Amino acid sequence: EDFLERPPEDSYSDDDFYYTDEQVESRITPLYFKPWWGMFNTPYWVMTEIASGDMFNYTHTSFVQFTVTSSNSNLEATWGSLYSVVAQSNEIINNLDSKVDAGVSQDVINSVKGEAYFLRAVAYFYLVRFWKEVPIIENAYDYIYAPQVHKNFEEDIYTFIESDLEMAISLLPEKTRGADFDNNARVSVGSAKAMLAKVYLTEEKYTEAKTLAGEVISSGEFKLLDNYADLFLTSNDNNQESIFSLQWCISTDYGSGNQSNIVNSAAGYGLSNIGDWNVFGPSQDILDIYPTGDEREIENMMIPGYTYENLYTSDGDQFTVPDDISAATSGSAIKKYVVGGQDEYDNWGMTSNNTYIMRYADLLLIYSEASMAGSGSTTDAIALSYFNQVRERAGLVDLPNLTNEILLQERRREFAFEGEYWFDLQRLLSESDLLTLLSNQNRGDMNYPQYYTASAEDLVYPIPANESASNPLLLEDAVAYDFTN
Amino acid sequence: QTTVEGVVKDEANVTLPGVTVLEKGTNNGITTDFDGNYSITVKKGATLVFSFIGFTSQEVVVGEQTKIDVTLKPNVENLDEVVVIGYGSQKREQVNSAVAVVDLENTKEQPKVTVDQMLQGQAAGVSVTSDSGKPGAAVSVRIRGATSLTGSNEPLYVIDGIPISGDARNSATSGRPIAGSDFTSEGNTTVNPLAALNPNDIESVVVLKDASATAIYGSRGANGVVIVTTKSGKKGSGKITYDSYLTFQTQSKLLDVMNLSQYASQQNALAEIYGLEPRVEFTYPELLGAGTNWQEELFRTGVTQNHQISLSGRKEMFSYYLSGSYLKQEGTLIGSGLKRYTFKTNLDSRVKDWLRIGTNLSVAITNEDLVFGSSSNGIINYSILSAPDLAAYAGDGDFQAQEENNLGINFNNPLAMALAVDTELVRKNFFGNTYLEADIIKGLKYRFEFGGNTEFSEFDKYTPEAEYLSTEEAVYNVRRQSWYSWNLKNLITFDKKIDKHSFTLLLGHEASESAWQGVISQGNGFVSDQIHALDVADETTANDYKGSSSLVSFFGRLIYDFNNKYSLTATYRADGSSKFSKENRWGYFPGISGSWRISNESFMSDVKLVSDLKLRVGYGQTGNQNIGGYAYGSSLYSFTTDTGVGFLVSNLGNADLKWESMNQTNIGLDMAFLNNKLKLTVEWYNKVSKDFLYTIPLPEYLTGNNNWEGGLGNPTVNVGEMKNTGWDLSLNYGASTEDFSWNSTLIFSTYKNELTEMNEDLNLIQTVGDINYNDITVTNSVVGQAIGQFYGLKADGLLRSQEEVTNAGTYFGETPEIGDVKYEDVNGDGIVNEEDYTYIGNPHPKFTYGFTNNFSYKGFTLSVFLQGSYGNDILNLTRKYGTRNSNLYINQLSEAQDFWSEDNTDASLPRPQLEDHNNNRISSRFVEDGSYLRIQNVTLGYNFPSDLISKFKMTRLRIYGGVQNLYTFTDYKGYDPEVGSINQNALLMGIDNGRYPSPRTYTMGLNIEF
Amino acid sequence: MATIITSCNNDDDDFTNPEINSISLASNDSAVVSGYKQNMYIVRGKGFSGVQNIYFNDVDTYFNPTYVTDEVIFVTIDESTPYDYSPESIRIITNGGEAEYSFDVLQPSPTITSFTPNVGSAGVEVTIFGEVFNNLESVYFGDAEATIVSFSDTEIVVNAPDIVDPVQITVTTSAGSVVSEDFFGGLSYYIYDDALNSDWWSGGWGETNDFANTEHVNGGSYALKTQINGWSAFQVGNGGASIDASDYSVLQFDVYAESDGNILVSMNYDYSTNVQVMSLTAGQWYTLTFSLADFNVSDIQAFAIQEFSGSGNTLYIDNLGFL
Ligand SMILES: [Ca+2]
Ligand SMILES: [Ca+2]
Repeated sequence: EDFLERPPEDSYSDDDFYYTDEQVESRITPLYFKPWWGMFNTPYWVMTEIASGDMFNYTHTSFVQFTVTSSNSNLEATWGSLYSVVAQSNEIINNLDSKVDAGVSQDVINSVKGEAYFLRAVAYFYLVRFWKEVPIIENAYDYIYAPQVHKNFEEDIYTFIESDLEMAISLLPEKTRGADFDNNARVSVGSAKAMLAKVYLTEEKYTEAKTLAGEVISSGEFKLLDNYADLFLTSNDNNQESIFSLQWCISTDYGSGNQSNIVNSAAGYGLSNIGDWNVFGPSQDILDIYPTGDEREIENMMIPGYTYENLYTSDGDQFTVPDDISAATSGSAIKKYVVGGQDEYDNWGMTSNNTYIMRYADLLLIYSEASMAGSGSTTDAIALSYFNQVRERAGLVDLPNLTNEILLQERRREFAFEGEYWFDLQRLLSESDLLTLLSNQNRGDMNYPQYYTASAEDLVYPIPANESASNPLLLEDAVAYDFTN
Repeated sequence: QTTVEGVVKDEANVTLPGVTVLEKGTNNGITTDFDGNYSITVKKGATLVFSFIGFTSQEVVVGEQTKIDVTLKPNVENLDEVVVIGYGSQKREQVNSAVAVVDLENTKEQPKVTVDQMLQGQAAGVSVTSDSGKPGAAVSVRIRGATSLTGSNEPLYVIDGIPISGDARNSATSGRPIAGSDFTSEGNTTVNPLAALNPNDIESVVVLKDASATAIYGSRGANGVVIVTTKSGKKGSGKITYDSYLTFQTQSKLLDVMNLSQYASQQNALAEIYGLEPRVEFTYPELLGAGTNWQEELFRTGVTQNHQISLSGRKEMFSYYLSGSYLKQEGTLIGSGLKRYTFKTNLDSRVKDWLRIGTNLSVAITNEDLVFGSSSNGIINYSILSAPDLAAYAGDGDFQAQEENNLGINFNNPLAMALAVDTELVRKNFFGNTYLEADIIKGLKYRFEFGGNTEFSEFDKYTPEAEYLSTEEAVYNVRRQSWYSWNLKNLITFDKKIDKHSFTLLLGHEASESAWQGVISQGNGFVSDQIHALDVADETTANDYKGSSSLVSFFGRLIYDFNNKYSLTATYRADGSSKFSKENRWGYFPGISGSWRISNESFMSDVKLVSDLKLRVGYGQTGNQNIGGYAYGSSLYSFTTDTGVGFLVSNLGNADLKWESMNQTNIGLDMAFLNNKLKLTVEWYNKVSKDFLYTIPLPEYLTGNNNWEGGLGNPTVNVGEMKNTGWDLSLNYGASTEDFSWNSTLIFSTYKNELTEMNEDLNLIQTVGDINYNDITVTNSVVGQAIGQFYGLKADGLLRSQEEVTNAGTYFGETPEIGDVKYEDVNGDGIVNEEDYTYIGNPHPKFTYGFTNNFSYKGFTLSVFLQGSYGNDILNLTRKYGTRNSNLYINQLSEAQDFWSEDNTDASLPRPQLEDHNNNRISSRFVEDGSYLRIQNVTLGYNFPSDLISKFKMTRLRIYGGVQNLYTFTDYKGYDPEVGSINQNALLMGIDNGRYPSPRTYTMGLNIEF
Repeated sequence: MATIITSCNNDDDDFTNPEINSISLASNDSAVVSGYKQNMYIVRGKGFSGVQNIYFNDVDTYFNPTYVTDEVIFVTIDESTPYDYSPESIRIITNGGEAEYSFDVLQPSPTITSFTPNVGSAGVEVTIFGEVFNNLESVYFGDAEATIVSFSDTEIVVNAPDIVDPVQITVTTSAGSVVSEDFFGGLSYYIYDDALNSDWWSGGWGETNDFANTEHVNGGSYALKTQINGWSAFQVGNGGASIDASDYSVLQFDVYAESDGNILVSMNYDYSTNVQVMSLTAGQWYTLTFSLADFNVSDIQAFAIQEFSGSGNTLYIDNLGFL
């Protein structure tokens, strides 16, 4: 009978693996980047920044023109990517306890499980904001022979996210973010609380959001990095401002790195090692949002003639933005996450430069926004001081009061091309104001100003066509999620 | 009583061992010894019957003689009287199952490179399509339709006792291709698993079609079995044979694409519609020339030459066959080609009267120049889509790169893809088998066999750094793979004849193991393109893989015959497989069949018209275990991370996994009329396969992306049931006079495929990567319908009036405009969306046929072979890309000029739109009738008269010339209606996604024997 | 094989000498004897098949082989082609011979991308950035000619003439003239001229603002209109980087009131101590100037006009800023 026993010879079996702390921890590290790549290599920008009018190109015109259809590949890539995170998190949450050997420390098990809950919550948070209603899946094995399910209510998804983050808070370790950046890579209780504050804010649970954000801020776990420009250097990955970032790495596995350096910037100037694709450029609309003296402008967009201290071409030349720079016919190019040709890179030109999912500046502004509690303005001194901390770092003066419009504008400047503006618009503006704003944006290139009318349906993405083809129930009305199973 | 002795010889005066000498009307008989001697004691006046396979029996009345020497004459008609079946052979007249013997004479003078190609149109119920026209390409062979859903449907080939899977996807072993990357974006990359076998070395090919015949192969027999026996030494003095042919292959059809001047006008028109700047160089299209005709650049006349020398003979107790061959084939697609060297040795020896041993060994080395042309973004599609303003070569003689443009459209220079990318696959294959056969007591034989098969393959692909390939760095990809398998058999056969009852009992045990391993490596960054080696690369990476599988079997078979009238065969096999968990490891496969030779009944003796009539009925069960290892558990996928190696779960395991099984009933009627001049075989079958080993494509909300992207691989489960019901018909007529002979065979096959059961939640939707690297749905399979049907919207011309637009409702949430494609609202809810996707075409033919005709007059022979398919549809994606009108800087078919505009309201194509648009969704617009009738072969040959050639010590001199794929009658608008399946996938039949077309071939050949 | 040029189907021994007959602009096929870099031209003649090189002023010029027929070539003059060259010509070399034809490559018109500083008194040194300033003939500030200090192909340094109102700068070379988009002169820092400075926010109390009003305008297309309730205020503030008050000496704006009344001008939220009160008569434009020192501020944060009669007023404000 041994002759007929053939376990894998080139990989581990999940049933015969969990013997040491190191082995258990090795199960969570890829979850910090690998399954996210499908979304973050390009589609994320398309679905957030092109849609919101921050970025422009001719490759994704349906997002520019509000004509996205269910068969658009970006939707499926993002959907599949987020559900990869869900599926892998589920494996850890459901199986780790039963498969782990007695010799593994309980702290390690708790932390890894807490991280899985955290990551699953973040994935659902994106899903619910992009699609509003999606199926909640806790264990794929329950559906192998009956995979067709309905979508679940938006409020149930939020309930599920809250409960996952609460689990994460109960399992994750406490941390202090110090100068040992490597130690900051994995999330902590503070990360989970901060994320939960953002979830509450999106749910308009302002009191809870404010309390939780305030708690994390006063804990002192996170701090603003002194210099905005330093935030996006690979050497500052996992600095004390990082609450949660994707841990890209240099690998021989395709799809492990940050692709920004190739898809952003501008083609033909040697800023990447394998060629610039020049996929994205800044929109015409975003080009003049920065006041004079705002240090963030030059770190987010390239302005002809400017010489970057930290940016080199692959030939080793310090980079001065050429006069004819024009990524996606914009007359400019994106700078954020462009790290140049001297950074380390993998075979496909991707770098290990981490992508922020949440950083401390966001948390400060969450507190400020929650303080307005939906009223549209506040003069709360703490809220203002947190808000002005972010402005001060950018080299701007303090503002005496805070309104929705001012906050929205400030967030757009701070998080330009980080994928926040699409969600900010939906959170901070009424639907009619949002549609008016989108319809009045210049969504053309530098030569042809163009305007497109957005409608309410354009604010929620359609379920990817291949998914609804394999499960037509997804096109039906959502149902309540059964939390008891 | 008297004792008679003597020698039996053939016409060439060679003694014949093993000839049966029987006293007529009794059981008294013996066989001749090694020197053809016999000695028998009989009654005086008795009649001796000398019979030997392949020779006409001869009767001699014993008078006073004590020495009777006999010369037997060959009997051409009965040559194939004995048919090899699994683990033995059987008299043809006693075969109860569906077994087809392929007449190799029909294809011998066609330049077939692999044995599977020789089956096309030669056996009813066996459908053969080339998946690609490239040299050495994989072939899809379907015996009585598809048996499995997504597993391999290729038959098992048993070559001199060694089982070889026809599965080019290697799904039961490594699951990896031997050429190209592990990803499928390179399209149809499979290579032929049988490319190592030189068809010229083959003696016979027998196809076991039904389960009563294949049940003896148990878990590996579900898709049918093709038993190939190679040549061995023939009695007679040594023979030297030289065979050679030379062919010229050309692209049989070119498509009508726009020339530069037409292209410029079209680009201007499209730019205006898209609201983009027109190109200044196109302001006066009439001043421009024809530009580059990419089809002319990419297709060429390919020359093939083939040479083979063989030596064979049988002397005393020893027979031998030795051959060596050389083939060099250029593909019609520039840059593709195949070289092959083969060596073959077959030796048999009778050591003792009761002991025979033998061995055979095949060595083949193939060297293929590959061009991965058959994907959406492959060269075949680029031959249509590459812009005519892209020059093949720049002024300096290097390849030209496409000029930059504001839409970022960049097509690689397809000529450079074919020529500058150096892609080579070398395979070194060795296989052999040794046997020992001993007569224990009269009628009882023991046979031991040990066979092995191993292949080393070296795949190399060097892509230089070049603008025309959009590469910023030279990349060298390497795959080194090897696998071996061994196979051990112990067989006991017992023959017994009691009066009119005869029995053959077989008992056997078999064990086999396969193991494989491979290394994939990549080197990046080279200072020059001279040397292709990892050692000179700037950076190198490597990955490896390995695994093994094993199978243990016990089986038995009883063949019973009564008086040549009634016959019964029963088989049973038990297989234990490493593919399943302990609980589900063993599978049991029974088979039973019987026949009634009606013409041997006395009541038929007066029916002169009927010379033979036999009814056969059979039933059997077989299995399928063609999946990768450890599908019953979950394994971990490793990834590099910043803090050491990390692991994600690779797949959803399924502990309940078990065999896929197939049951088949076969009823056949063999008839012969007019003294065997006209023969007809009709067979009906019902084939039910169930519990498919199916890797369910679960929705992504359950699995996420592919596992290499961090998602979970889909689980393999047992689901569903499928039925193939069909008729195989074969009609043969032969007639001859002294100088003239004529023989025609019509093969006709039809089947009806139906998915009869499927877990209702699961879907069998299949996608292919389109030209924008998106996966688009192309087929779906549901209960009650045939599998793999094209799935999309029903198009009904264009919306040509405002009224039609108003009635159309919305299309996927958008309001269509005049000039858009009109889609049918299938579910009648007033709008068109995903829910209106439906079946828009069926890739299964209503029937297929082959018609072989051989004529000879004196030394001349003429053979004409027609072959075709009727009633199947093709999804022509190449034409979809060629008529999209959805972007600039891309050429289109000439018909793309006929698009809707205010000035062309009766256009055939919709109004152009930038980017992909509802108009270009998969719809019935792209489904075409794939019926065709092909003149597959016309060959004229001449045998020089023997009195002339004997002066040169030749015994045979033959020359021939012919044309293959001479002409195809079809309405299909693509290159070639013989589309096959994408990577042998039964659910992706009939999809033309840039298939490498089959060429037209002109052949000249020579055949000499000494 | 790779050395055969595919556009050439002539037999190798059947070469004809090329001949150029005319050149025209590709965009409209108008015959020309001269042209500009980076423009595409149609060269007509015969014997062009088998073209190997095309030279404009001896610069080996890229051409697309598919845009070549025996009688026509489409070619774009390379960016690196000199325009002061002798003799000015196009040469075509084919495998059958060579043809030469006289063709002038002209200097492109100048362009101005920016200049600095953008305000200053007579004699201040102003640097103008742009392209193709070769053969510079003159620089004008409005109607007043500036003195050229130095110039290169991409930069001109001049001494500004004396000007009163903001003016555009005109650069003239032998290839033509160009007028700058931006104005030189006027205020050194604008809070409002035709639009609110994008760095600034607006937020007073009891007022309604229209920043694109056209009823009463004092220069340009718009003035801002603010309807202020009694004792309420129009207020704008700096949302950008900190502005050092010592960089400027004067706060200045034009104002037009619909009703007679008083206004209180204040800075940096100090509405009571360092303030200025002015009386306005309805129906006329005033230009108001205040010394910044009087407001006693170190950086400039906000500026407010409070209605100070109690009856409310509608004000039109234009050209608000600092000198
Ligand atoms: Ca419908
Ligand atoms: Ca104005």
